[in-house]
Amino acid sequence: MDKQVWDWPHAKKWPRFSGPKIDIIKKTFLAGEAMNVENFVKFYTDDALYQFGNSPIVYGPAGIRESSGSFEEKGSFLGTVEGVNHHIVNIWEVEKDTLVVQMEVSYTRHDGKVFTLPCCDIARFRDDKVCELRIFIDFTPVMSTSNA
Amino acid sequence: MTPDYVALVKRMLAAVESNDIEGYLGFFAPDAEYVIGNSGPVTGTDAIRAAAVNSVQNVQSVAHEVHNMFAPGDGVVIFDSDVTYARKDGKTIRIPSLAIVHFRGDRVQRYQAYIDLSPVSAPS
Repeated sequence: MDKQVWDWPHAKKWPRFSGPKIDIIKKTFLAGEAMNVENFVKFYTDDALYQFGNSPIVYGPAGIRESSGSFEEKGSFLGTVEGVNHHIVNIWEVEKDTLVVQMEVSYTRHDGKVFTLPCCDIARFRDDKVCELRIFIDFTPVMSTSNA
Repeated sequence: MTPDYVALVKRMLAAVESNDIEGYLGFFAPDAEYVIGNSGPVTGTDAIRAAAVNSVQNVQSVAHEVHNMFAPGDGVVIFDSDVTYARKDGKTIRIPSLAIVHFRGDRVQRYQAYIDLSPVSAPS
């Protein structure tokens, strides 16, 4: 079989929004949606600050990888969530190299339940990498709603 | 003249920190929309009062450590902060929060806070 050639990562999704930094965050989100943490963490600087909701701040690819858990680890993010979709409502370039991204994010759990939650990110860039991503969200429904 | 939206938001935070709920509500348009976390939106002064009071019913006082306040135009102010809630049972909870505030004229037309308040309402 011929080797598959993927156009990846790409910035074609969310065509309403584009720009040098916006395209990087779009690729980051798309890598997140592909649910492979190894691709997702490549977008971050080694010292990147990463904050998800009320969870403790973690740093860099290693911290992000560790805080994501795995599909096999029950109770972790990846052990709970099978799929993610970001619906981008608005993006503001509030400062040089700083974006505010307003979204509705849908999380599909492994049990099939879907939760659509308001979410807003502050993303800062150093050159072409994300050096800070702070995700403001109330994620408790995904973790605490029973599957009954 | 364009109102100083950032100054208005700072005055709103000051009203919250002095537990001046009616002063806080005075910044909103009568038909304003209000969203806190995953609840809402609610519309209008009475509904906003109820939602605001409900979100802090265990709380003695609130303090904001504001990190950034952005005014990207079109009457929008975006700010993020660490919010410290001193609960009536003596517990202190510090959580991150971001709010997007839309003004029409000098009144808030829409206020949306991205915050997980579950530790504030959690049992002692």
